[in-house]
Formats: sequence, C-alpha cells, structure tokens
Amino acid sequence: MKKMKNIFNYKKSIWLICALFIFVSCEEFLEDELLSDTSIDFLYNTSDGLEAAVVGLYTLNREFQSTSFSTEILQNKSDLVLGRAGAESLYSRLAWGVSVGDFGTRGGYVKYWTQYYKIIDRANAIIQGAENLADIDEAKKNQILGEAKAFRAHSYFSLYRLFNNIFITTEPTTPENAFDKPADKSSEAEIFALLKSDLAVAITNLEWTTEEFGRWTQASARHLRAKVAVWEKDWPEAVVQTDAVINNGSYSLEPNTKDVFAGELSKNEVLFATQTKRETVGGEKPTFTSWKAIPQYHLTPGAVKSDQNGGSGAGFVMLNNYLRNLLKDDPNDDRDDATYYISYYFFNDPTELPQDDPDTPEDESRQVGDTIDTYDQFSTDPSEVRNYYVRINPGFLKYRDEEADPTDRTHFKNVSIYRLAETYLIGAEAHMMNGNTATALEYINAIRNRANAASINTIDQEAILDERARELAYEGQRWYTLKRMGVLLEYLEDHMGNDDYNQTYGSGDPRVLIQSMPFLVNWPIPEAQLELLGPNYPQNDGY
Amino acid sequence: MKLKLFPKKVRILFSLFLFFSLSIAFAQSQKTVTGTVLSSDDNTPLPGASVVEKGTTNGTSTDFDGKFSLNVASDAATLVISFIGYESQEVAVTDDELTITLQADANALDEVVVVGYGTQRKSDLVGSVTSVELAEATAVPTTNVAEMLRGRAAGVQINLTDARPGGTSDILIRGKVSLEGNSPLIIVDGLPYDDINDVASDDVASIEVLKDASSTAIYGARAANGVILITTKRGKEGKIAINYHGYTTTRRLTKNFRLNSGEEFIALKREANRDRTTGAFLDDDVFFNALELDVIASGNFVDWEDLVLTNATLQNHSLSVAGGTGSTKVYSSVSYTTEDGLRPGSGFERGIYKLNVDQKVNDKLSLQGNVNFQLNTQDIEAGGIGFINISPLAKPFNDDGSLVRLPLDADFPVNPLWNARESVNEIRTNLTDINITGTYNFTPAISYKLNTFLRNRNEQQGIYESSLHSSGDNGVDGLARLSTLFYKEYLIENIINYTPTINDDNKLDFTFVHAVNERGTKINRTRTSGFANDNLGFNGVPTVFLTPRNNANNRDIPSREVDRRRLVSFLGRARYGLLDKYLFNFSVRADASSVFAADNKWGYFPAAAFAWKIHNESFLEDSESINELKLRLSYGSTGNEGIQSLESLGVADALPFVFGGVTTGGFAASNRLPNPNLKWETTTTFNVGVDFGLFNNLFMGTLEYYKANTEDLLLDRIVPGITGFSVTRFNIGEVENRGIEATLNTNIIKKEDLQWSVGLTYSANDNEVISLTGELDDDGNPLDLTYLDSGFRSQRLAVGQPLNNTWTTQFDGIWQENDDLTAVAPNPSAGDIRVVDQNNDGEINADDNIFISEDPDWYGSITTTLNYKGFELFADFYIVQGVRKTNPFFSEEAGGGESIKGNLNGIYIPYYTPENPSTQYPRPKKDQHSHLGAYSIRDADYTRLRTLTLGYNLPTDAIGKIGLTSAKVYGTATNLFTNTDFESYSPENTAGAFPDTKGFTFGVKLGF
Repeated sequence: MKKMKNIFNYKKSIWLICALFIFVSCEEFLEDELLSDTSIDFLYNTSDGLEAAVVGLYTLNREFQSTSFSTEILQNKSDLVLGRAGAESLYSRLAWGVSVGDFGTRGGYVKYWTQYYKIIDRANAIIQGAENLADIDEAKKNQILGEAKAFRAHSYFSLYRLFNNIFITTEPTTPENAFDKPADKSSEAEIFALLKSDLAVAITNLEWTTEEFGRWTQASARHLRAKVAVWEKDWPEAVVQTDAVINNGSYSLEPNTKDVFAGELSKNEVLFATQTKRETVGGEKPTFTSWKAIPQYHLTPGAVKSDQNGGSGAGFVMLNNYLRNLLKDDPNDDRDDATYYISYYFFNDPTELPQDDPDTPEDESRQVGDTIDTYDQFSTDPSEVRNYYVRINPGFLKYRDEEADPTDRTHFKNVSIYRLAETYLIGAEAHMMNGNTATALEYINAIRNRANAASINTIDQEAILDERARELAYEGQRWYTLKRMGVLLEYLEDHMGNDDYNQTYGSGDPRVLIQSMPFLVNWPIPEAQLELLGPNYPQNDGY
Repeated sequence: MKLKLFPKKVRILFSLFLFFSLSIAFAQSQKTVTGTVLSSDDNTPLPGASVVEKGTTNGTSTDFDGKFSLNVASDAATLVISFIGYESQEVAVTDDELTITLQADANALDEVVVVGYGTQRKSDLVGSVTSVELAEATAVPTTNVAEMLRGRAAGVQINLTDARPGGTSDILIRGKVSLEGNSPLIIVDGLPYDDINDVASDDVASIEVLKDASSTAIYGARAANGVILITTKRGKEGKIAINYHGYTTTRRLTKNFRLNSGEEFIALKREANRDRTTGAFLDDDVFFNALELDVIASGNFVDWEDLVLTNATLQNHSLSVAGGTGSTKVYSSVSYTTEDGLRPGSGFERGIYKLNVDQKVNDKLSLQGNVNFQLNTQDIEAGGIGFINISPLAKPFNDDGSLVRLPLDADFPVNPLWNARESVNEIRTNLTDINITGTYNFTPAISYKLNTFLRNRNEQQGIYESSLHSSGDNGVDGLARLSTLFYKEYLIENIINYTPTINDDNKLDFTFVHAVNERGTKINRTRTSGFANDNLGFNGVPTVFLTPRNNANNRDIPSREVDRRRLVSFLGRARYGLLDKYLFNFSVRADASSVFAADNKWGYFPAAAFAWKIHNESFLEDSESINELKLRLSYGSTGNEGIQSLESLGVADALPFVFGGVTTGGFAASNRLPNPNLKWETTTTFNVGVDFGLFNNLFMGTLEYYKANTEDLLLDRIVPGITGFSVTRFNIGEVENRGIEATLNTNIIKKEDLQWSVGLTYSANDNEVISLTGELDDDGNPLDLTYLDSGFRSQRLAVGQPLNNTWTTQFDGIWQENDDLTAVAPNPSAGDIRVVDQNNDGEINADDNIFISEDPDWYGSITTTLNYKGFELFADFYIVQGVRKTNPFFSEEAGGGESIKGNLNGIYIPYYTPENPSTQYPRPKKDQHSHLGAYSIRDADYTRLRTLTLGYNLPTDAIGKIGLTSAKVYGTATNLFTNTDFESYSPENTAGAFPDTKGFTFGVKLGF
C-alpha cells in the first residue's frame, strides 16, 4: 500500500506541473513584444527619442530627391524645360498629371501628397511629445520644437501650393482618429495662421547657423517666412525677413557661379539642403537627376562620356529655347558656361572623329577638344533635328556629383532647397513692391554681377521672373513663383517646350493643350486619396 | 527486474480502478482467456484490436504483439474481436490459447483514414475528407509535393508560384476565404509543417484533405483554409523490407508564343518611330545606335531565349528500410534529389533522412520517435530570366568568343550571361525535426498521449556579385549579401482519449487536447563590398578589411530581425455512432494567439456534424444497386491568425541621416498604423455532402455543396494619406465562398488481368464580398474599400465582387481610322486601345472601370488507369476554365508598354499599322499607350495532359531468382500537351516567371 501511495503522489505532481504550465503564465506567454524593433513609445516619450525623431524628419524629407521620387516633377512642369523622353517628358508636356486618375497623378503626385503628410504627422507627434515631456532640457526642447515646426510649416506650405484643397491638423494620428473624415478642406486663413505661428517659433528657437550643415537654421526659417509673406503679398514682412538674412553676415553669395553647386554645395550661400554622402551610413540616397538632364552626347561619333561633357546622360529633359535665349541676353553671363548649365559638348574620342571629307585621311577639320557641331537644330532633315535634341541640346549641371565616374548615372549629391540667391531675388521683389527701387536693383544686380552679367537700371515683375529663370532654373521653385504671381498659365502657354518639338508629341502640343486646362494651376488630389477622404471632401476646380 | 515493477503497480492500480468503478463482472471473474489477433493480409499481429466479452462492457485491446488476456465471467462467454479496417469476428471462449485471424474488410469504404487527432473508418466519416489516391499523386516526378496534389482532390486548387528548382506552389482549398494566409494547414504525422515540401514523396503513406469545418475545426487556429494531413510510412513487424526508387527526368521548355525575331523587332521599331503627322519613316540612324546598325547590316540577330535557356535534368534516388520485432518497429529512409534549372545557374540539391521508430515499453506505455533531417541547397540564377525584353539587335560575344558586358552598347541591360557568370546566389537550408510521443493506456478505454515536437530550420543565403558584375563593378569591388535565418518551432500537446465501450449499437469516444506552440524567426543580414579580390566570393568578407575604406561602397549596417508568435489551445471532441446508421460529431476549440491585441487573444471555434448511413437502413440494406449512400451535414467555424506579429504595436523605422557628411541616428514611426483592437478572423462553414456507391461499386463518388462565410476579415486597410500612414491591419467585412464539388470513380473493367478505371473531379467556387465598412456613398450604395495585398499592391474590394479581382476598364478592340475619334475624351488616335465607356459620358476615367474576376469558374481533372497483366497506363488531364488575368508582358508590369514603343523586345504581336489595321493589337508609337491594363487582360483557360505514365511490373517468379520481391520500370511524360490562349511558358506562369516545363521521366522501383 505504501508503494501505491507513492505512485499516486508521483502522478499528482505530474498533473500539478501540467496544470501550472497551462494556467499560470498564460497572459505573459501570449504577450506580443517588440524583440528587435524600436518602439514609438521611446520615440515620443524620451528626450533622446525626440531628438532621433527630428533627424527622422530630415530623412523623410530627403525622399523627395531619391530615385523612388525620381521624376523631379516640379522642375519638369516649369516653362523652362524641353521634355524629350521618359516620365519627365510626360509631366512637362501635359500628358501626365492632368487628370485625377492618370498615371502621373496616381504614381507621382500621390507621393507628394502622402510624404508631406507623413512628415507633418511625425512632426505633430514630436511637437506634442516635446510639449508633454516634463523631464527635458529647455534648450533641447526649443531646438526640437524649432526644427519640427519648420518642417511642419514647410510641408503644409508645399502641400497648399501644390494641391490647394488641403486639410490641416496639429493632432498626431491615432488608431481612433485615422478614419475620421474631414467635413471640408481647411480655409486659407487657418492654413496661413498655422504657417506663421510655426515659423515664428522656428525663428525664435533656432540659431542663425549650425555646425551640422543641412539642419534648419534661423536663416532658412526666415527665408521660408519671406516666401510665405510674398505669397500673401505681405511685402513689408518679406522685406524684414530677407533683409535680416542678407544683412546678418552669416551668409554671403559665392563670388563665382561655378562654386555655388560645387562639392557639398556652398555653405556660404546655401541655406537649406538635403544631404547625402557616398559610402556613409545614413548618407546613401542616390539620385539620377543629373543623368536625366544631360543629353546623350556620347552617341555622337567622336565623343565618349567624360567629366568635361557633364558625365553620364540620358537627356530626358533639358533647357528649352526660351531659357537658352534668356541666358544669351547678356553675352557675358557665365551661368550657361558649364557652371549651372552646359551649352556645348566637346569631341574627345580621336578614333571616331567625323571629318568633312571622310575619304581624305589627312583632313583634320575636327580635332579633339573642338565643340561638337555634328547636328543642326534648325536642319530641314527631321532625323538630324531629332539627333540634335537627343545628343547635344544644352543640359543642367546643378545636380552633378563630380565624384561620380562619368559612365555612372548614380549620383550622391546634396540638393539645394533654399539658397541666398533666392533670398536676394525675393528681397528685390519685395522692395520693388514696397516702392524701394534702389534696394530692389541693388539685390537683383548682386545676382547678375556675380554671374558676370551687366547691371540693369529698371526693374519690374518680368525682370524679376527673367532673373529668377536664369539663376534658379531647375531648382524646383519656378512653378510656385509663376503660380504665386498669377502668370502660370500664361507663361506655360507662351514658353513651355520648343515649338518644333511640341508638334511631334503624340499626346498633342502642350501649348495648345493648356488652353483648355486652366485647372492646372492646382494639382489634382489623386483620386484614390480623395476617395479615402469621404464624399464631402472637395476636389480642386476643373478636375 | 526493476523495470517490471512499475508496470505491475500500474496494473494493480487500474485493476482496482476498474473494480471500484466499472464492473461487477470483474469481481465475479472465473476465467482468464488469452490469445493472439492476426491480420489475414500477411499473418502479422494486429496491435490495438479490441477484444470485448459479448453483451458486457468487459474488454481489452491487443498489445504490440497482437496478444491479449481477458478475464471473463464464464466458460460460455463469447468474445467480439474488432479492428478498424477489418471485419469483426465472434469467437467462443475455449481453454486453449486463441488465435484469431481477422479478415481485411474488402469494402474500400472501410479503409482507415486519418482525421484530426485520430483515425476513422472511411465509412464513419462525418465531415468532408478526401483521401488522395497516392499512386496517382506520386506519378508526378517532382520535389514539389503541392504539385502532386493537383487534380487529385475536388476543391483543391494548386497554383504554381515558382517553377524554379526547389520552387513551390500555392494550395487553395475551396477558394480564397481571406486576404491573409490562405494556405491550408499542413499536418504531417500529427505535426504542423510550414512547408509541405519538407516531406520526401517516397515516405508518404497517405494524404487526406480536410475541407469542411467539422473536420478542420479541431485544428481551430490556422485551419480556416483547410487541412492537409500527411501520414508517413512506419515499420511493421516481420521481415525487413528494402525498397529503392530511382528516376531521372529531362525538362524542356514549353510555350505558345514567340519573341520578336530580329527582323520583326526592326520593323516594330521603325513603325514606332514614324513621324506622327506625315507618317514618314525616319532614318534608321535616328533610333538605332551604331551597334544596332552593324547587326542589321550583318543579320546576326540574337535569340536570347535560345542562348539563355537550356534543357535540364532531375535525378532522384530513395532507399528505405522497414521492419521490426514485436516491441520495436523501424522505418528509415534516405532520399537524394538533384535538379538543374532551365536557366543555367539555377539548381536544387536535397537530401532527406527519415527515421520513424515505434517502441513498446510495456502493455501500457508505448513511445514513438520520429526524426526528419534535411539538407538542401538552392542555387538561384542571376537576374531572373530578364532576357525577354532584350533586343535581338545585340552583340553578346566578342569576335574571340568572350562575353560582352553591354550587348546593346547602351548603359543597360547588362548581358544576362555576363551577370550569370559573375554571381552566385545560394540558399543552404538544414532542417531538423524531432518528435517524441509517449502514449499511456490507463485502461483500454482511456489513454493519455504526450506529443512533443521541436523543429529547427537554419537557412543561410549567400549572394556574391563579383567586381565585374554590374552591381559589383564601378569601384564597388564586389558586393556580398549574407543572411542567416534561424527558425525554431516547438509544440507540446497533451491528448486524452476516452472510448467507453457501451455496446454495438452505441459507439462513443471523446478526445481532449491541450496544446502550446511557439514559432520564432531570427534573421541576421549583412551587405558588404570592397573586396580585395573575387577569389573567395561571399566567404571573403574579412578581406574587405584589408582594403582602404574608400573602396567600400554599400557597406550596410548589419540588421537583425526577431519575430515570435505563440499559440495556446484547448479542444474537446465527442463522436457518437448510433446503430451504425447515425453518426454525430461535436467539437469545440479555444485558441489564444499572441499576434492579436492584448484583450482579443482568445477565439472559440465550435463545430457539429451529422451523417446518416442510409444504406444501412432496412429499406436499402438488401439493395443490389445501391451499395453505399451516406448523407453528411456539418456546420462549424475556424479561425485565422495568419498575420504578422507586432501589428497591434507601434514600430519605428531606423532612418539615419548625414549632416555635413556625419552620420546621425534618426527614427520615424513606420507606415503601418498599429491597431490595438486586432482580433480573430472567423470562417463559418456549412457543408452538405452525399457519398455513394452504385451497382456493386461500379460507380463511387461524392457530391458536396458548401457555403463558407468569413467575418472580420484581416485586411491591410489603406489609410488616408493625410494621416501620414499608409496602412493598418483591420478587421472588416465579410466574404462568402459557395461551391460544389463532385468526384466520380468508375471501375469499368474489373477482371483479373485487365482493369480499367476512370476518375473525374469537378470543383466550382463562387467568391463574393458580402459587406465592407458599412459606409454608404451619396446614392446609398456601399463604399468600396482599398487594401494592400501581400505584394504591397493596392487592391480594391467591392460588395458583390470577388476578392481576387482586377479593377480596370474593359478592352473593346482598337480604334480605327473611320471611327469617331472625338467620341471620348481624352481623344484617341487610330491604332490606340479602345475601352468601353460604361457610363456613356464621353469620358474615359475610373467611373468606367469594371471588376474582372481572376478566379476560375471551374476546374477539374479526368484520370484514367488501365492495367493489363503487368502493364499500367495512367493518364491525367487537368482543366481550368473561366480564368481571365493580366499578362504582364502586355502591360507596364513587364515591359509591354515599352515593347509597343519599340524600346524593348517582347512577345510578337500582329500590331496595327495604318496600312494593315489590326482590331486586336495597338499601333506601335513612341508615346505611352493608354489602357494597357485593359488590353493585357487575357483569357487564361487551359486544358493540359498533365501526366502520361506507362509502367511495367516484372513477373515475380522471374525477379525472385535475383532476390527481388518486386520490380517496376516506368516512363512518364508531364505537361505533354497544353491547350491555352494565354501567351506564356505555361498558363499559370506568366512569361517573366521562371518557366514551367514539360518533362520526360524514366524510373525504376525495386523491392528486396
């Protein structure tokens, strides 16, 4: 009997173990845990987390330059370019991005819509986190709030200018409010009140300069504030902000145009730029922008890819005749002398040099180093004209990574968003509108003289637009400026593309198309996004 | 001696237990009967046979040697001996030891089939369970077990996902019930397998497919998409049996399209570059480069398909040894497979070792150990099969025969042969499964089983792209990517079976299970470049530290991903059979899954089923024409937890940045908005089925109807962009699958020397969304919903439409010159794709989109087997009808848009020209074609002679002399003939995927 009792105990204990295993730690056992991921709780509820979250905003903002957003849409939609091929051309010639559901809207515009709102939501969460966090150093908190609010203002201002009918909120998204449907778009008054209050905080909180090139500073915040002011035609405010930046002394125009975009970009002149760096963790966001904006000169017999000719090129989009002629207004203007823009390409392959008389070996009518003149833009032979555009039309150099091998289209290049030259031109416009012609001329001539162009003596809106075209072409500001001045449709209709090229587009001549598309002053809200906002949310007029 | 002590104690204990609780007969016992139960098949002992004293509840079961011992009330007692799959026998008690030989049940209906947590006579099945005819399934020579199931069971749809050596197929049972995790649960010998291909086909003893909820509900979680039960072979007592199976397969390309030849591509490019206004052809040198002009002049066009693809072979050898003594039985096998791909550089090599051991410790306790060990290597070819889009106007080789890197003399593409030469991509996997179970029979009626299982899978992928490869050159100096994946799963199950013996008319059994399961993955990844040389490939990672840092592009931060999911389950099942006519089955399962939100872990899944064996009713009992007629009804629910972990938690992405060239750590909340309310998705299925056997089982078959409703669909709902997030996992809406399935087998000729049978399966499923968010539009119609599919593509759901759909405009031919080209906006040109203006508003936009179902209307198979003396002929047709799907080579997806522009090569089409207008294919032009989506939707129906096998069994008397017990040689052709309009290498396989093939196999099976 004793032995039997033992067995009972033995069995009992097995059951006990089983029972314990089943019931005791069930809740803990079934918990879902982050085992290798960073939690958003850390991000928004600690000082270190908030600082890292601010850095995250810069990375998100850099996405606009990366290959996944590769179409440089705003640049291509300006009146200064010739769209030859690729998606770039489809945007520039009004084949894409002209209706709510076309591929340009679905594939391209939607990224601007979602990415800016993403930056805004993360900034909202950072701002709320910093304001609610008790245990944080005051200076750190101010810096965090300054940068986050600068990003929020920058993003909402961009969205407003692109999509017009936008909805603004300062509440971070939660699972509870994610599907709330806004009753209507936000009013212009609400939008500008938020822009101004955010930028006021940014200007107050941020230092004039930063050790970390690429961060928001008081200078870049003031530049942005000036842009908001001119949008509202608040000329006095624009004067205050631009003068403050120009006269502060921390920034100055580069003496030579060739140094503005050299290397990591001029730290004297560039106020705000996205940052990339080859071979560096956190620095690798290559772009193809330069490749798209340089022609395929290497297809010309006698030319191979070289640094001198602008490196690797596909020539999807290049300078149109209108911009080329503006640059030729002053023969000394050096901005098209392979500084901002490249106008000529050179023979560099002795083995294939084309000669006038191919049958005579001693004919040396062309030498290495001569300007390529193989194709005539104004030939009567359509094949030659096509070859001119593909191979030797002038191109843009502002995105070129000098370290890239000339055969490599992958470039790592800081991209200038705002620079002092634009501050000068905004200042010139604001002073002019305020009646201070002398300062207006002083500012615009500072830009002209730096490029070796002669001073001008009278100033008007057209002079300002022309100078902005020469100085800032392909930097992504042109479309906004024309829209702000109310001349977008007019300028596009007069100047976009090239006449002879426009006729070859299967989708139609864009200068004709735009006459029936006045709604293009606003981008359409992409159909799928509009649908998600519910039946009450308004699409922009005309779509 | 010590060993014996314990069992004795237990025996005493349970004798007492019986004494107190069950039977007074025990107290009155006067006689002990002993005996052995044998099988008539091979005169081997039958363990587990039930021995009951007739008219009482007094009984026992036979041990591993088929022996029993029972105390009976008197000399006059009669014993009833029964065993599943055998005819019961009654014998009178005698003084001598009894030897009872049970006759195998001749009726195929009494085959034993494996059901969840147990077995059952086929005739007692209550739910919808299909046994796969193994001989037919294994006639397909493949390492892809899913492909063996194709056409073998009604309601089971197989979709080839990857025809690459070592590739896989999707298995879909009764349509898509969910948007996440539609794969069925694979159970091998009672254990969940995450990959059906981890079983060697020669080890398979039986395959059962469980389709309705009453069969699957016992598996609760993960079973919403059906269950496939695989049982592997085990050792039997007796002489050692050795079997060998070897075969070799040659694979060849099969297709029903051709790529543009050199001449055709030239013509296409000229046509595309014609002047839009005048129609004049431009000079060739405008759009052909110097190299292309050379090739045109020389006429040396490149046939990339021919250059890149080759015939491939597969070889398989399996050797198994099975045997055992009374207490120990062993099955052990080794399989080795080596397979090449059509694309050189692709290959698969696998070795599987299996050991199944059954050990009887004593009368009460038995142990089972199963070990599965596998090593495999998959080589993945470089750059996919991207040759389809490469121009035939190319120069792949230099004059000296060496490879040219850029065969088009343009920035890309890189010569596919070049990158193939300069790269390796291999995945080495080793898998160890250890399964140990212990079963303790407290009494013949009550048993406890502990099932323990541990799986370790270790997968190492190494990719090396040399300093000449297009990703590793240009100063990158070689690029290596290494990843290591550790997968660990364990399962512990406590299973109690209780089978009270009542009487012949009332059969009852209970099963209770408690289970704990954890699955976890840990992944390390590194990406390194800057190699001193290419000699060591990816194993040369340390050499990057010997080179200057400035050579080292693309050196990433190593990453680490850890994922874990857990399940806790309880289940109970009761089965009751009354008069061998009425069968009842009830089960309930509770599952808790870690992937759901804190308050929603638990899900409850009940099921009930009833079957009526009409043929056992008196009015049919003597019927000559109706041998079997059974009606089955079932209703029950199952759950789906097939989502990722962490979806209810907020996760941040690492987003480092550089300020002035200096790295700074950054983070942002990821695009997925966490949902703290995530819960189970539940599928409730109603099933009615009829099983019949007619005219002496000349016709046997099954008809079934089912309706499965899935609620709280786990979908990746797209969040409005203004939230800053793109997606969140949500429980929303309801989808319904309705379908019918029919299986019919006829044994037309059943003579000794000649047998001929024909089998048919037919499945039709209708999938329809019943409800979504409940929100209505202005007209009061339910709003559509967008979600992200597993490929992160945005998809659309609409009430009344199927889950698998394409939402696009409807193709309506090609605009012709005489058409009114201003009828719709934007205005088309002649030669453009025409689509239907559904709402006749003169504008083509999203309002004109329609839903096109991608599911087949029906699919089925016809199989026929002819045996004549030693010859076997087997043929198998597979039919899929009513499928329309996108052919990516006509859309933007795989270069179709660029091909019609003359920029890339593609599938030859008789396109529109002004001189020769087509009504089906658009005009080549440099501009973007609109509506390529609608144009690329194609009919993908097909009929295929999937298998044709001729085998010959050598006469036993002849082979006996050389020591063989059986010998068979066979030849098999697979995919010999396909009838389809879908331009592709295989209709389930789009033209860009690794091509499916036709195969010719020769094989030998030997038994020693």
